[in-house]
Amino acid sequence: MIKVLVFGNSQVGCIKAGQNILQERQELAGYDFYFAALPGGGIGGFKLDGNILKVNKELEEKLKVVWKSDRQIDVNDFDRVIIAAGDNRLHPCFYYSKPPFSHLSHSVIGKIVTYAGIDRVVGQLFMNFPEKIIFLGGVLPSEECVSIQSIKTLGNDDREIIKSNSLKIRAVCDSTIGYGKKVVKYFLPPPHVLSDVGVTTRKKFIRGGLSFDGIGKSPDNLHGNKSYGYEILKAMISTKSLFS
Amino acid sequence: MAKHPYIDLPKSSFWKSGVANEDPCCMQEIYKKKFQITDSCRIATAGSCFAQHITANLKANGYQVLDIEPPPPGLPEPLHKKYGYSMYSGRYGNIYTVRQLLQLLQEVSGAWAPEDYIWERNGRYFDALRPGIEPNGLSSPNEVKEHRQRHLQLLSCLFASADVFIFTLGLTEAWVHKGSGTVYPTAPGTIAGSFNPKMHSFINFQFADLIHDFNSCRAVLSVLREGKPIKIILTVSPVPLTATASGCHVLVANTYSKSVLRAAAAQLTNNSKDIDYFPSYEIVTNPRQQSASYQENFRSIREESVKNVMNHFFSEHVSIFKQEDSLDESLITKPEELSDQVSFEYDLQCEEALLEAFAE
Repeated sequence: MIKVLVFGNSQVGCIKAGQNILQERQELAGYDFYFAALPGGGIGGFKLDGNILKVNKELEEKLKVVWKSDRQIDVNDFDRVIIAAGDNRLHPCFYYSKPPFSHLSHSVIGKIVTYAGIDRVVGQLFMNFPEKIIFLGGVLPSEECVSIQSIKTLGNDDREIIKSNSLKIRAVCDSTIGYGKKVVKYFLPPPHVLSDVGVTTRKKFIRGGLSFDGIGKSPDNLHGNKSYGYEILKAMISTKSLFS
Repeated sequence: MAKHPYIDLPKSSFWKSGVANEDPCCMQEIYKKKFQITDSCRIATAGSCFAQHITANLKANGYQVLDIEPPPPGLPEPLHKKYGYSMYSGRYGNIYTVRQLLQLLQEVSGAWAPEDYIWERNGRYFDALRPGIEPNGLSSPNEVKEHRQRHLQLLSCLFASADVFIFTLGLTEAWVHKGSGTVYPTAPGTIAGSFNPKMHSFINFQFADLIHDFNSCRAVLSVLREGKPIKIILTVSPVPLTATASGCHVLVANTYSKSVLRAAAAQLTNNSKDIDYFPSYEIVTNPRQQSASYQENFRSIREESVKNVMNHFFSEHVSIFKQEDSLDESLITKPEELSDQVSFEYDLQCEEALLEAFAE
């Protein structure tokens, strides 16, 4: 049995919902999933003390865990830790300012994937438990997200460059990225959950954002739904290299 | 007193008052601008590695320096220069010779195409015309071509939209692909590729070459800009040659190179109201400085010397922050303070400096 902790902020919600579906369908044999989420403010409230993930006292009440009541998480209790928080490595905010866009090299992308927008506690996990970590990040914004609508009006050249760069980002994330001699794994949403240029999430995987318990609340464009969580987890467990 | 032609000349016309007794950090009348650069002027910069200082200082003083290929927002700032970002207005790396600039402009316009410009090293591929911008190279020759094609498209926008072009003349020496005349910024084999005497030859451009090439540059620019005029500021890099392949002593070769560049700049400036010359070379090499302008290697320019150069520039082209009368002054940092804040520990990306490693 592989013990997996899904750790993060409100982005954990859809993964939890997806896990419920997989369990109902008995598609999760061999995996034992646990969840820890600190919704509403990111994971800056976590700190790593040795191998223990602790939560700042004032945030303790917000922490949601599914298996025990104390507020300390021992990373060594798990074979893998999936981080569901922070910007997805495909997020356009890392790669583009304003058009016209340029091609990016694998080397430049590798630096961005490694360094951009990493929370302190995530960096500590990378450094101390690289073999356990699978970085998923948050859901890419909806294709309907207002702040990203300009992608739809881009010319063909810029759209092709985004597509081309997205393929390179996938190649970089598929290759192992080392921290010294240690290696962290990155997992990107499968292409079929994304819109055509590959940097936004299809509307059908976004509609009706979920709270941590998987029940829909007011729609938002920044959280996935249970179908998204299902697709992500299904794709993850199909990628044997993540758990071997 | 008898009348003679020197009697009414200003102090700056005499060596004693203009240099020997003059403060080298505040020389009067060493530079008088030909034209104004306003806050709405879009500036493009290019040239040899000293031009990176000019780009950085213009930005720090509020000028609108174009950057058609900005760094991706997620790339950590300390890595920008390593990957050729933010050095100039485009990601073309250092442009040392006027011929290199001409060929770039001709390539942008579609009138010319380079040959043998993809170099290999350890299974990685480099754009030989800007080999320093991807220190690890790219994965395939096709990727190099794809990146270059987009680069040229973007430069077309850059040169069409700039109002002022600042170009620092760096070298007269270059290495050429014999068959096509393609000029490289570095010798084959230094960063990537390999030197083949049957394919590659050395060239040391002469005065007439520079004049011809620069006038050709202007003609191509005019085509790219559909006749819209552009102001140009020329400077000569005070950074000496790292090495010479001319067969002369490097000191002699350096003097030749800088003299020819300086003479060409004068000729071009004197014959056009749209071309100005800024004397960064003279400010740095002023004998009053007694080599104090240079770092211990007597090649790199000291931070304070760069600051001195730029202070002379901004004494004529006043910092944009000073031009903004309508702004609440309490909200802005004073130009002098800004000038101090500019990091002069600027990590110049200078392929030419790699030659040092090969010389050791």
